[in-house]
Amino acid sequence: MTTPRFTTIEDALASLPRAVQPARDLWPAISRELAAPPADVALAGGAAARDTAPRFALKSWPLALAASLAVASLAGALCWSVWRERPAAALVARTAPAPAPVTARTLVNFEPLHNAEYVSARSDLEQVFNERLKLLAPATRARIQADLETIRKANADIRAALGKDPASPLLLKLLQNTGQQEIDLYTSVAQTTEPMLARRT
Amino acid sequence: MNANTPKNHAMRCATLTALLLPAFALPALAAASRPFSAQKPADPTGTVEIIDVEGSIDIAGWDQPSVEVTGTIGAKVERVDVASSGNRTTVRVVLPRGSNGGGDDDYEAHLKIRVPQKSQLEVSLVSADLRLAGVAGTAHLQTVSGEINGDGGGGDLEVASVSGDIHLSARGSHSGRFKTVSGDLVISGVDGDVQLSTVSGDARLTLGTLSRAQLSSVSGDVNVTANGLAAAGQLAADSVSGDVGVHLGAVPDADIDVQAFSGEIHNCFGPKAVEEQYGPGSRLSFRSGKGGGHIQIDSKSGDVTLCAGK
Repeated sequence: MTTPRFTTIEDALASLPRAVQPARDLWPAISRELAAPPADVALAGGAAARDTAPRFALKSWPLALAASLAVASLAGALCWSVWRERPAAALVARTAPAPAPVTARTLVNFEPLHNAEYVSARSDLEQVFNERLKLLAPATRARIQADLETIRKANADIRAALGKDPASPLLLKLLQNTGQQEIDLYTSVAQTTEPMLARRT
Repeated sequence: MNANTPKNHAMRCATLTALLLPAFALPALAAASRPFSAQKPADPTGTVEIIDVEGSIDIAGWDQPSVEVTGTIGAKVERVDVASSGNRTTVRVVLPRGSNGGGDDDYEAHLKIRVPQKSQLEVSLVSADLRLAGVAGTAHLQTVSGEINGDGGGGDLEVASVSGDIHLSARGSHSGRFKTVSGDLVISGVDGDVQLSTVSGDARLTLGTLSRAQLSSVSGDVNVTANGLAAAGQLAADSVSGDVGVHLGAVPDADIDVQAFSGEIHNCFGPKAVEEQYGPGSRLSFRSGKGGGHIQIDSKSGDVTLCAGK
């Protein structure tokens, strides 16, 4: 009930606070450490430092190697995708159950979904919407079409803005919302015109 | 004085026409619409479903365990079905097959429907206007271009309109879901859980204390005035180009995060919004009071105003 509704990772990320207040004031301790001369540091924790530093280095080298390999692999994959003019998302998409065709030449793909199931469902919904639209009075029809244009223009504006700021979680979220508004419009018209079909004997 | 002058003759003809016109016209007008009346027993807490295309529907609650339908129906309205089955009563205005209405008065039905006060309502209209009063049960109301007016009566509300305006008072209602495309919304009295979705319609909501509010607009302006935000309450609003205004009667205990890509952020309490460090836009992010609640408002080019406690 009180949990925020997050539908995407961008949504969740956007909601995170930009700054986290520490539970206590850390500055006095930091200030003390900064003020202390290096010799004092060595004297204060010298033995422990000498004991732990080499041990850590010895024990953690497989981790460091694995991390290096991971970073190198990721960098290689990104380089390869850019070199082949394919978005990184496509590399991920290849392992997904329903891969999406790649149309954009950028690292982040803002194009509408091309998943076959989605395209088919959307096409069916649009067909019902267009059929129901014909049943309505011309003035109402014109108003709905104007609203559809409003949504599509808003969507295009957001895409244009994303071109300038591709990492904006705000724009990604609004893009998702306008997409949903368009689907909602089709659904609303389909649902509210049901009585026009039911009335016929 | 000659009584047969052309002027006098004309006067006599005009008088005769004036006298005879109602005699012929009234039956013709009467044929254009006809009265309708029906009554069925109904479950006092049952569901009443009403379906109509054109005209007007006036729903009022009463203390009788029955549904009464009275009014007039246009010459081309085939019939009105009023049927009861179990706890459901249906009132359906039936038009002939292939008819398209299209604003023809002959397809209109103007009905006054009285239902048990605690009925649950399911109303589906196309261009018919709806007036509602004195029904305390849950109401699901939808219309394409008809207007919805009246008093929601305290039950949960779910209202959807494409281009029709909605003016509803709903004091005592703890849940309201309002969806419009281009119709304007004026809602008052709901508290608790409120959801609003609009494309280009403007919305003005005057609400009680909110535990959860979710508001979404493309280009319509949304203005919310509420008594306050409940402890751990959530308010989320987003808009592409419409302005968003939130005015709370009491300063909320909430973490507040407002973002605008190119719109302006105005707030009457807390710190001022700052320019985003790594991109365009501005952001207002702070903890108000003890926190615990959450207010998040996102806008692309619409302006955002957030005020509290005044």
